[in-house]
Amino acid sequence: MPTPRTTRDRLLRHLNDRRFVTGTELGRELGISRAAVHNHIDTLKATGLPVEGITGRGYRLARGVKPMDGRFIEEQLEGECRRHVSRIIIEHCVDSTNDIVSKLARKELIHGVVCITEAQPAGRGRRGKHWVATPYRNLLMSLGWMYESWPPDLTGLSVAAGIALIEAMSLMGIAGLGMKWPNDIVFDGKKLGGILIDITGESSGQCTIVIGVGINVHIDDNDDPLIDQPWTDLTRVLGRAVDRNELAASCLSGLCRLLCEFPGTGFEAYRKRWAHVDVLTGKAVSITTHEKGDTTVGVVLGLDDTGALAVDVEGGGKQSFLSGDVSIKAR
Amino acid sequence: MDIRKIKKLIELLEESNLTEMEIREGEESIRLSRAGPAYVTAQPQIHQVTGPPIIAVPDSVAHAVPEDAVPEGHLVTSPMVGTFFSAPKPGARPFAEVGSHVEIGDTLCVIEAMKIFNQIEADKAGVIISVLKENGEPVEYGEPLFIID
Repeated sequence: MPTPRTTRDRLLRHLNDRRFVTGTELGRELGISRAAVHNHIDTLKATGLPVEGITGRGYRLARGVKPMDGRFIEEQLEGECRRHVSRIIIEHCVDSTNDIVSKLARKELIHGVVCITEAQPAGRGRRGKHWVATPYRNLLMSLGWMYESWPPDLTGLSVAAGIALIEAMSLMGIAGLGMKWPNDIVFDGKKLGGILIDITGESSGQCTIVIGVGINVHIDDNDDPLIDQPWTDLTRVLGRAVDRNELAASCLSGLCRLLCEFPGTGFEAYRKRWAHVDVLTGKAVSITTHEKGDTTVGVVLGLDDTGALAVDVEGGGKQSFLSGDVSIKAR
Repeated sequence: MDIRKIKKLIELLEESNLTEMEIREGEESIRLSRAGPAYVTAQPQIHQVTGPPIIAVPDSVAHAVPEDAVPEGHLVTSPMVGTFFSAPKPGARPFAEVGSHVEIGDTLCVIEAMKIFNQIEADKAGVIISVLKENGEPVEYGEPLFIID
């Protein structure tokens, strides 16, 4: 069933970054008054939509801005994925798309429910850290999935999801991306994206998974001071603009493939593919475990069977880490 | 002791909920125990595992802690290996404390491993009578986290 478009979604479809569209024209297209158009534009502006309004000429989006379009994404999905994706919700300004899908899970089956937001004023990184993304220019998306019973090796899912996303982007011609265990997508040592997975359910019953993906497509230079780590975006990586709707469809297709396969293949199939994207093995690293902030120094040996990071710890021998922030030490 | 007998004992241990068993037969005795992989999560001081186990069976086979080690009440156990978080973010109020009244579906804690956040929900309404883990502590599969009365 195609995802219905709200008035606001339809309004965005009539706006573009090339020419001005008048309020009268927009009102006629949408069957609403000019004043209503103006109100909708104001609301969108408040969420961060870069739209220019000039009296007598109308409205025009800032250069390069192309809003997300759920129906277009649906049409671009691979066959297998199209069977699973049941609904695409486009939000304009929410703190966490994972929370939106997780909350829906209390009332309905969220298998195949996708939520995408254009802006994320207080993006959730790990344990309360911020994720900064210029509104209407990046990909912030969550996918809900349900399993009848808990698949084995579930702890390896964030690593597997990273591999699936990198492979999906590589199919779009985006090459050279790597992965920093356990959930960062990187290019040339700089962060390009991340994954955050929420799981609910009892260990004996159904398993509900929400995979959140954030990919930097275009970050404004003005946002740089707000980001506390080296970063990059796809526009910089490729030297050209990237269509966010195509990117969303490609990433969703990759994630669906992963989630269909995972209970059968387990993490092992992904552990082999890890070698192609791994940026850590053989590197001297320091690992900071959260909450207590303890730091361990060592050399990365690789991943163990569950996806945990195996490290030859300085003076401590081989240890496996299930969580922590890894930073590569300069030699 | 006959090797076939030992094999039989291993099978017995595997089928049971026990983490350890010791058998004496005259002069001879054998002690079998199982332990999960020694993961490092939030607390490096937990690194040491108590002696090399004679036989290590994957932890997913049985509960990591024997049932009789904890007080009476409804047990909420961990569905995965990871780090126990009692609050949504550092410094925030815990989801549930001793004395808190909880309803079915209320979040009790979060278990995290490799950026997978597992919200553990109450599967029984009642009062929390015991919180068995500290914030930031590592937990094993099947380990008891809360007791609800």
